Amino acid sequence: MNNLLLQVIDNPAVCVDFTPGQWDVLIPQARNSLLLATLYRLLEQRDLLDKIPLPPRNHLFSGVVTHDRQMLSLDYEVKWLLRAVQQLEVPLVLLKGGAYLQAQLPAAGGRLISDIDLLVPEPQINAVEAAFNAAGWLGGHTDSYDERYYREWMHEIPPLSHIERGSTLDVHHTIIPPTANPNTDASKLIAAARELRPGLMVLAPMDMVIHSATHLFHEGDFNHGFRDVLDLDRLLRHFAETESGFWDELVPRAIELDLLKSLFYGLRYSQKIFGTPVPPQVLAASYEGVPTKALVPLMDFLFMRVLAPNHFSCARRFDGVARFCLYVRSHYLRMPMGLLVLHLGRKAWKRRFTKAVDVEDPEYAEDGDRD
Amino acid sequence: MQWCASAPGKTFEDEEGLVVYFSQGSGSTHLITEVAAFILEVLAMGPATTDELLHQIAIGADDITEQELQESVHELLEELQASELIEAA
Amino acid sequence: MVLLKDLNPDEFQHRLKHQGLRIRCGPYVYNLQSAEQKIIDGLSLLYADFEVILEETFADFHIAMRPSGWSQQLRGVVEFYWDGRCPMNIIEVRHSYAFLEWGMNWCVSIGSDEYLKLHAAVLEKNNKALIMPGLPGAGKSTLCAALTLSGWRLLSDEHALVPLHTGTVVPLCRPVSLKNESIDIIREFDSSAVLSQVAEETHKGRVAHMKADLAPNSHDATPVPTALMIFPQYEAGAEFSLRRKLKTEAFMFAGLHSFNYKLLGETGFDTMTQLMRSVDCFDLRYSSLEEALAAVNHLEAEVFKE
Repeated sequence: MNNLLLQVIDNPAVCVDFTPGQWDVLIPQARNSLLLATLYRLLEQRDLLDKIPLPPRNHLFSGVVTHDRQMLSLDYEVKWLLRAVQQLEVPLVLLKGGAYLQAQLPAAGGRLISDIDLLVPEPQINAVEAAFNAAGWLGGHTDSYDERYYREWMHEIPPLSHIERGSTLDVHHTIIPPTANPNTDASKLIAAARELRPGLMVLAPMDMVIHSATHLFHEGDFNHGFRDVLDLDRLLRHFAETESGFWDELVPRAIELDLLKSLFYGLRYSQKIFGTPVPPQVLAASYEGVPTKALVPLMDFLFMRVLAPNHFSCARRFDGVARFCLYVRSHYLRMPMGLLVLHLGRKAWKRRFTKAVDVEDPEYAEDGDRD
Repeated sequence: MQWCASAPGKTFEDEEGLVVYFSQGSGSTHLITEVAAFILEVLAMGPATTDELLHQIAIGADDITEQELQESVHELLEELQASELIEAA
Repeated sequence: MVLLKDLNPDEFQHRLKHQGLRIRCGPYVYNLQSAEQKIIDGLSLLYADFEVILEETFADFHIAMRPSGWSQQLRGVVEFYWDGRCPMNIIEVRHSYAFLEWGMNWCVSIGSDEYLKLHAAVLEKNNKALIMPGLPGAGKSTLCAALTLSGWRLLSDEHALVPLHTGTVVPLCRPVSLKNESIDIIREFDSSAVLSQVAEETHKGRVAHMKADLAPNSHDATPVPTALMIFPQYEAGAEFSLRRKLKTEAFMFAGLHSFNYKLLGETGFDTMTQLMRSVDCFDLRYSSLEEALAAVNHLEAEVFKE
């Protein structure tokens, strides 16, 4: 494995001595991992940008252009979101990338987002949806199957898209599908959330970490797995320094939310990949959350493959098998079995008809990377 | 009714009455009339009421009746609001 | 400097099939990889005078066109790989060269934000650039090809690359794409034009590409100051008209049809402002290619003199 991206994230100064051939590998790794902008910011912070050759630097710069535009748009959309629900007095909790950016966490440096993910209290979700509809965010191209899939089995309403500005909202009422984990009580997350400014919240530090781990290991899409583990690493390092008692309370909180297993895997791979300084006793305590300990080596085998940058330079044997196994696993975790078969079948069928891309269509250029 | 600019803006002008306006809040670009650009310029200095705006515009417009002016300015303010360039203060 | 035509055919094909052939196009280096005969033929014909890079280098774009496995091979289709991923539909082998050209454009369209990128043909004469934005069907490719064959230097038939905060364009000269009747119009216009084999029945109809690096300095990537922006509109039977266009309107049109004006935010606005200050803008409506050429040459003589 030739993971230059990891080397540079670990120690940005190494790329100053990179050969053109090494840049030739690093840039595609970073692009496929959605980390061009992150690298740009890392090098910028250390005053190293001037020391790297212009052609690869231009690609990093292109990443940062998208990132900067997303930060501007996010600020703007948040302003309108808050106005939309002003009358309801419902807290809006930003999740994932949007939260990192608005809270200006270190994980935000160069972080790309695609949609705005929000958590709202379940009893008010219909009122919130109506308020968003009134403010111009409408449900789009979902057929009745999709509608049912989202509302019944997932933890969100179908994505809402703004009729003028095109921004997309994913409104969740819990952080994990109820079919996968009925014991996770989202109201506890909302109760502990921290206010950024009036009406706008983000999850409390421990919950943010637990959600990041949960999201990673319940997603079937590992295309950006490397980036997602980097998020986790950065959150852990940051909160370990800024929050007193962070490590002591992390495992008890995950137990309370019934998400200890996800936390274990999150901590394990963050440490394995990025060397996150997780105290051994925390790792050991979280290991208790794994019901079938014999499976851990298999999970290591699968995850360490899919969590590398998605580029042939990092490819190893059985990557495809690993991706497929984890894709099936994520759906197995999410849904009852009969529904899983139906859903996979439909997704594959739909993809055949929706993949068409018109390379000469300038509109296509506006389709940024997906989160 | 009192109005204020939604965000600072920048303009590009040609000689013939139309102005390209860039809003730094939304990052969107609009093609607007000179009068609309004038309103945005006034509001950039601080909030103003509809009447104050009408008064300022009337100084430069002598070939239009009072009523026509009122109607078109009201319409313009509505459009600027719908375009998210101005908002009620 | 090694040109593609200097490589012996075996080495050319070996590189193309294995590690990839690295070709310099304007400010960029493409790494192209394919074993398809259509692509070998297309490249050897249209890229003969392009520089190839044999030593270890950084490539901006890595493109491969090959079947994903035996099943695609049997069906006579290939995938377009970009950094190892497949962002497009599968492609019939007979369309592979046309798609390679589109794919090479596409890479620039979705990245390259160190430039404000307008969807436009760009040509140069007397070290002044002419930008021709145009909707599909406006005839900009035909006009662009005809100008290229009449003493103008082609800078790009697809992207006006404007370095941020400048009023210049960076040349990215590659073959001109011609569709449907334009192919015959150009053949008739100049029988010496070098055209690729026609790809029949693509989603855009019949497509051929024309060798366009005809000027001695075609591959010079030095930025060129801009002076003229013409919005061509071909319309069968239309009466010729040439009118000065408001710069504010030109601004909006160019911004709307830019690949990244919106993405660049304020920098995009500032760069477009600077660009608009340096050009004179015209609407050109025509039904005869000769008339259009005469008009463009006339404007060049008038405007570039100033």
